Amino acid sequence: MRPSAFLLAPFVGLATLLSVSARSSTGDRVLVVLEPSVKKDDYSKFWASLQERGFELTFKEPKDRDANLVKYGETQYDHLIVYAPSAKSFSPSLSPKSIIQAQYSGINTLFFLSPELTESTREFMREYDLEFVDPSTTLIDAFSHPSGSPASTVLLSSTSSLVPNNGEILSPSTLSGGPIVYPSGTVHVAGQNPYLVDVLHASKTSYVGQDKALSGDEAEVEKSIGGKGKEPVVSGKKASLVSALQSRDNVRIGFVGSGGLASDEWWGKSVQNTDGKTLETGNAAFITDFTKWIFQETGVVKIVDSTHFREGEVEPREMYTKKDEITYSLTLAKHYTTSNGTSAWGPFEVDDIQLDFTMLDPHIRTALVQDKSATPEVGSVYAAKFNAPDRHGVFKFVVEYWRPGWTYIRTSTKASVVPLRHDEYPRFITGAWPYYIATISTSITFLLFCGLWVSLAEQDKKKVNKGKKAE
Amino acid sequence: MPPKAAKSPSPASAAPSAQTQPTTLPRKASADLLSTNDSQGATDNAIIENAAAATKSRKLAYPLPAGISPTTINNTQSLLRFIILALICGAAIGSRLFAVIRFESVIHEFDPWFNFRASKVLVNEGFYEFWNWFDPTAWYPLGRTVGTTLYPGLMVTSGLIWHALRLINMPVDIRNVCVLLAPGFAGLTAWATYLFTTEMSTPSAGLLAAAFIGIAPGYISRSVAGSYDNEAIAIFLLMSSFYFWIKALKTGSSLWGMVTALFYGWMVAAWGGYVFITNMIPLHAFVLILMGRFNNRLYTAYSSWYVIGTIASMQVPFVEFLPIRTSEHMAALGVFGLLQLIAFVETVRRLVPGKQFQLLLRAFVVAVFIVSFAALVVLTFSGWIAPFAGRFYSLWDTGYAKVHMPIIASVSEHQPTAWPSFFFDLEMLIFFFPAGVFWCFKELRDEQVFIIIYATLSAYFAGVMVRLMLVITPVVCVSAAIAFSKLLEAYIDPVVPESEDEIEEATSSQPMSKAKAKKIAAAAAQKDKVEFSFTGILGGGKGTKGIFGLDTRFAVVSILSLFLFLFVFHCTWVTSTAYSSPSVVLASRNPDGSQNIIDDFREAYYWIRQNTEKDAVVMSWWDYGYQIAGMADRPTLVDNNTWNNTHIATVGKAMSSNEDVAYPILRKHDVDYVLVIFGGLLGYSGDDINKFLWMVRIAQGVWPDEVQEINYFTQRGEYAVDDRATPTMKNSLMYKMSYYRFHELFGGHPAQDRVRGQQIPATGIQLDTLDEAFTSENWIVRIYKVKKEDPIGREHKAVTAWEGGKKLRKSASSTVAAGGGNKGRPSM
Repeated sequence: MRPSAFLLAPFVGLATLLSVSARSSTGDRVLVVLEPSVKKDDYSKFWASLQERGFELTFKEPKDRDANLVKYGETQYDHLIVYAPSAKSFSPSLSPKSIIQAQYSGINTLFFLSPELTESTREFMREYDLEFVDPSTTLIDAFSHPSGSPASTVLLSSTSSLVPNNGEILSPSTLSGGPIVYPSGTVHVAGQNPYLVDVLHASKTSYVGQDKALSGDEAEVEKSIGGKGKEPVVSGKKASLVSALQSRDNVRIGFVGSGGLASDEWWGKSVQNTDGKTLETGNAAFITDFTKWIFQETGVVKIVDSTHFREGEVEPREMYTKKDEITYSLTLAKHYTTSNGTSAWGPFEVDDIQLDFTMLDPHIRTALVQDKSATPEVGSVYAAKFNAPDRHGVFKFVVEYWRPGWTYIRTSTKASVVPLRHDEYPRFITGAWPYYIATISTSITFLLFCGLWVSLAEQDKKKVNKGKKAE
Repeated sequence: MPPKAAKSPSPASAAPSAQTQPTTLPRKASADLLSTNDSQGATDNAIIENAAAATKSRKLAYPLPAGISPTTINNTQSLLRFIILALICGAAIGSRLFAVIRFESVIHEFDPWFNFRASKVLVNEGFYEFWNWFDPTAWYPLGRTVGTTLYPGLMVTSGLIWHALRLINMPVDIRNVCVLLAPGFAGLTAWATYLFTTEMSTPSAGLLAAAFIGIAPGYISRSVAGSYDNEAIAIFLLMSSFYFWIKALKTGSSLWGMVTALFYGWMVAAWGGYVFITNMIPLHAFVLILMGRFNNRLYTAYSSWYVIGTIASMQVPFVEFLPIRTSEHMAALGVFGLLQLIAFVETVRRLVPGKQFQLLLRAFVVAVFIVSFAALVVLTFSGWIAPFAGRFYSLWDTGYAKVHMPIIASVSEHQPTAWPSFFFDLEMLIFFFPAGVFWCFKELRDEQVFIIIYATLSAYFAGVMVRLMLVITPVVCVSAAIAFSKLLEAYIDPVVPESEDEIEEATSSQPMSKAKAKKIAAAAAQKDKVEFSFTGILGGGKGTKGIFGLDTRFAVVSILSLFLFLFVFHCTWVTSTAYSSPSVVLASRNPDGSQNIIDDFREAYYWIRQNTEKDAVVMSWWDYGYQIAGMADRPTLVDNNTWNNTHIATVGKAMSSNEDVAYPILRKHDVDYVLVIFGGLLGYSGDDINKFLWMVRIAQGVWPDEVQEINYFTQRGEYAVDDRATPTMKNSLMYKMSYYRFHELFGGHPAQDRVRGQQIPATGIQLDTLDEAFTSENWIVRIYKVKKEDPIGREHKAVTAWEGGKKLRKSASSTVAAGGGNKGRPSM
């Protein structure tokens, strides 16, 4: 599916916007589903930033019947932005099932959510192993919010709340950039789904609650139950605000707990924190980085080529003999955007890739070292040289490179290791000389014996005949 | 009626000749008198001439043509024998062609598919490629070094035939060579059996034996057209080896010993059952030594056979050093050593007389025997000589396999033989068999000892394993033929003895042990004039009644003929109904009597061939491994070459466990498709649910903590698939795959499993980790595709629930921990 989308992308781009070329590695058709209560114009800067990056946006409403993501087995869009947290119903083509099916076929998705999540959306989110806090509760931080804003508009420090070491999800400048304004957003708890990556979490001083003063009666009730019967309060690092999920097939899905994060209100604006400091918000940089990652612009690595061959040969073999010296090489390329805004592939340089030569269990596990001398057309070459194990069977060259924020690199190539052929064994072995001597001496002795026997029998012919008669 | 006084040679003068040539006399009698009976044979001209001279005047039960020269008789006999033998071969081939005519020229069953595939490799890629063939598709991912783990004799034989046919410009498809190899060799077996029996008894017995072996169901069961298995040529080789061994033993010729060894070498290359010859010949030699019949002929025959035969057998890559490293071959080596010792002692004794010296020598022989036996034991225990293989143990203790090696016990052909199957496979021969052995005891020359040993051993083995029915069949045919021909000879022989008194007189003057020979000798000797008169009821006279009467003869001979007719009828019927089904194609009858071909297996295998990736791994129970490899051309986890018990147990575990346990096993072995055989719709009883308990047992042998047979039985100990089935049973992958969507077929009515005769619960079976990919027309073969892990990391159960419209009330992880628990790295 993806290659076809990849092929299609230039044509679509040509047909619609000749001036802008795609930067995503998969395509530039974006479907934006906005619920009626969300005003498109409030996010104009966000849309503009996407269009500037070459994306072609199509806006639909949740109930639009013609918003087909996949038609006749072909994906109609490459990416999807869903901003309809409180929409009660979706057209069949935008139902949770269709969206998951679309994700299976390779459509990247960005969800904007809010505290007003409907129950069906919550159930949908549970499929990704995300549990959202109670409706109408938001993230509150009494100590950190832009001046003039309520406590539910949380100001999050980029250095403490953004999760570093997530590959290329966030750029270093964003990680050390301005604080992120998180206006009236919901909070989720990421489950044990191994594909989930935490991107932004709450600060130490923030917590989940209702952003309103309790009335007298409510306060009374609250006091009497002493907080019992409520969901445990999530706060700090456990309170995820923005999460990402990269599926097994490298389809990327983003969950942003607050749609307001991308609104014009906080896009590239300066805010004053509670200490009175004026800082430029990091919202624009954060959203840009995050959408770049979701829409397969950054953190994308592809396998250009993988091959294996015996020492002294160049072509891969289906069968290797035991203890053959085998070279395995893998060419990886990283996607990047050129200065004039086009998509390109360049070298991908890391030092922690390893190769397994496995049959049921890895028989050989060795480091794949970058071969700097190799000059591939694109990307970087990693190679490992090893001796085949002394065990015949169907082996696999397996490379699994699994780092958050990067495309999962998985490749598996089958090759058999076979015993020596009948004529490949050493013909004469030094250790076997006693046997050779025994064989030769026995043969010679037998010949001598036969010679003697025959000559003696000739002489005693008469005797022998007599003996025979006697029998 | 000739006067009683007219007899010329006295009984006393006839007696010595009877003693010196006890066995030639019946032949003599039959040779000249029974030329009308074409199944009777003669020996050589001299005897016939002698006999002709002796029979100037005799009393006959029926007239014989007179004035035919002995040469004419002899030539006619040879011609008739040749024609009869040719007809027998034709019948042997013809009766094996039911399957080809009814279905088509197709390879049958399971093992033949592998042999066929191997033959194709041999023919297409040459001998060396065949020898070095590594098959990565078998036993995935372990692979199989086929060239060194098979008996190549069968493939090489058919390869040679294929090449020979091409050489004479007859381009035949290798498949046809393979299909028709077994019938062709069955014809040769009849010929070899004829030769073998002729050595034992008369050529007439030989012809009977050839006819018996040609159509005996016990042999046909393994050699119908398309049954391209090792046994197809092995029985021919077995009989040939035995024939040449007897020949070598009789002549004391090392040439015949070498021919025996060559046939033995061919046999080793063809079938694992060669061990039978390896032990049979030494045992024969050993018994002869014990009987004090050691002589130079035995020494020459045995030594030349053993040395050349062992070297020949070691040329087979699969056998290699087994002849000197395993217990099964030690008897042959031991007897070889013993023969050398005895020969040495005999030589020394002849040269150096003296009682003390002899005693010393005997002590020396005993000492050497004990020392070498002790060495053998020590070597066995220290691991130099492998102890008996498991299959061998199960021959002594029938319960051994079931306890220790369920994999061997699970094979239906390794079960003990049921009594009726002896009659089913051999019909009347099984009753004549002991009589033939009795006749061998009567004569007890070296070759008859062989028959006795062979009969005793194979009778035991055939009782232990169904499969070894094949080994007993030749000896039953030979033995029964001897008995049958003795009977016929006795009753067709036209000579009527003179009077009871004289016979009594003749017999009383002889020792009792030679009674039979004397009787005939006396009868023959008394004749000096050929004269015919009616006997029995027709004769009416006194003294013409009794067993020599024509009526008695007619009654006995006609009953025997009826037996023969019934035998042929039975054999043809058994062959046609029981042994001619290819088992890859089934046949049933429509209500109107027409034939309905059930071709589910090939339908499914070709579906796999055409619809799956070339390297898609198919998991099935091992029975179908060879067929999948042969017809679908896809890698399999396990196949009929059951060399790796653990791998089979792994498949057994996957089949008998629930999906949560099975799925990781499937993924670890890269399984793409799972194939099950289900007979519940059609009533095909050989399906996987019926084999299921063996899967459980084999898995239990390796994982006793995880799989337990007891959990698959109901509380009352029943093996049930209906409502009573235990949860373990119902959750097992095999049960789910077999009955998935089965109840939907019945449109609301109770779903009936026609094999087990039980009602399948109508509650739908939910398969989370597998997708139904293909179900054949009659539901016999069902193929499931193994799902990949869910791309967004959900459990398969959750995916099924989600697709079924169920909503999650709590997130998957919230029940485990409050959140953010450790995230395991998913496997590929």
